[in-house]
Amino acid sequence: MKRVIFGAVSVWALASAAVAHSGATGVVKERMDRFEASKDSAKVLRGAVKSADFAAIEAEAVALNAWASEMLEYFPEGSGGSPSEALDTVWSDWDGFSAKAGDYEMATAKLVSAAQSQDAAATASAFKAVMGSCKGCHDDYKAD
Amino acid sequence: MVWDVWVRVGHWLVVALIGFQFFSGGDLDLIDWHAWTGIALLTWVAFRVLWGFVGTRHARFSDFVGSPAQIKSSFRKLTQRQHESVAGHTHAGGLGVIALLGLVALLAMTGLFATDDIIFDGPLSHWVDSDVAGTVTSVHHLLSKLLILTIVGHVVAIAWHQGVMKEPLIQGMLHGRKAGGQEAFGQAVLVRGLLVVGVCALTIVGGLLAVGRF
Ligand code: HEC
Ligand code: HEM
Repeated sequence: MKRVIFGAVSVWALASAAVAHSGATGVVKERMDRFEASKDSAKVLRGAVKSADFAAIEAEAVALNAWASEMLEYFPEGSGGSPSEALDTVWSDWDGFSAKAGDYEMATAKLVSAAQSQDAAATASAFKAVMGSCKGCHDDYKAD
Repeated sequence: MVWDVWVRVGHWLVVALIGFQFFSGGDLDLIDWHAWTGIALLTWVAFRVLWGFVGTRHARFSDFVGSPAQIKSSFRKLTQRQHESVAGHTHAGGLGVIALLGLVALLAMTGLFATDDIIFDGPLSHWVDSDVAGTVTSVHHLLSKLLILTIVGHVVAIAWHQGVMKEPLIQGMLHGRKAGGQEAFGQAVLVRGLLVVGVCALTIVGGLLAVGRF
């Protein structure tokens, strides 16, 4: 039984590795790259929030905010399915997905203004809200 | 005695740590703690595997790992409520031990390469492409579900022994004594265990600190 499970897990892992993102092209590849850049921004932001480097925070937050306002254009109808990790609910529940993108845009805008006001506490909580808005969308619209 | 102090303390520590892993796995604020607790669990698995060779009598794999036929017959006895007069694990229980150790090891190892796709990358994920890290993360999630199922199976089996067959296994894992246990543990067991724990912790934690990105 155990061997069967291990066998199944490894075959499945290899199979999905073979069809993973590497095959992405066009708009799917572009949005994946933008999201990977968001992850890099998130890490820079975490450090910058700790050291209260408001200039760096503002720069990253502006970049995320710009991406937030364009994001929906990167999810045209029919761009789901392997290798994308976007769930079908992105399109079947487009209103909900747009709302999440809107939450994210608002959260990043708040982070921009918190950084401009140089208020450490407000910046820290705005940063948390941005991270929460990433997760809020992933939980519903992105495969695990 | 049957279970030495390393087996007993290790067991209940792992229960707590695994509980924390399920609590912290999806939490942005706890993900660093999740990683370090996972590394602690990996250290424990390494210890327990070594202890399965150099530990006390009933902790050794040779004491409880059975052939498929033995395991089958042990499960049959279990369903027929037939008491097995072994001091340590039965062969059915032994299969549970191996499955749990294997799953915890795989979870901790996949975790080292996993990403939450927001802000956290496992300390070894820079060794692989981001798409491989994504796949490994999916495997990590899947394994966590398999671990829950295995833990449920483990707990149900213990409840059966304890409630239906009236064998005090839970007490045994607390105070170390069970019917038929002939072992006496001295200071040497403490020292040997400490050495093995030390070697595992140094290799795993030291190795990760040396090559991993935290
Ligand atoms: C409105 C929804 C939404 C928001 C908000 C969002 N994401 Fe995503 N994210 C997605 C979807 C959908 C995908 C899957 C894209 C695909 O595979 O086609 C994804 C994929 C990703 C990926 C994986 C990219 C890859 O290589 O496959 C990363 C990393 C990521 N997001 C980071 C972030 C970060 C960091 C934030 C917040 C700063 C964020 N996302 C906010 C919907 C969102
Ligand atoms: C035996 C130890 C471990 C157990 C039992 C465990 C368990 C879990 C569980 C239950 C989840 C949540 C899955 C979900 O939400 O579907 C999770 C997520 C995660 N784990 Fe672990 N884990 C372990 C070790 C590790 C280690 C060592 C690391 C990294 C060093 C790690 C990194 C992660 C990451 C990054 C996630 C988040 C994935 C996501 O948000 O999608 N884990 N883990």
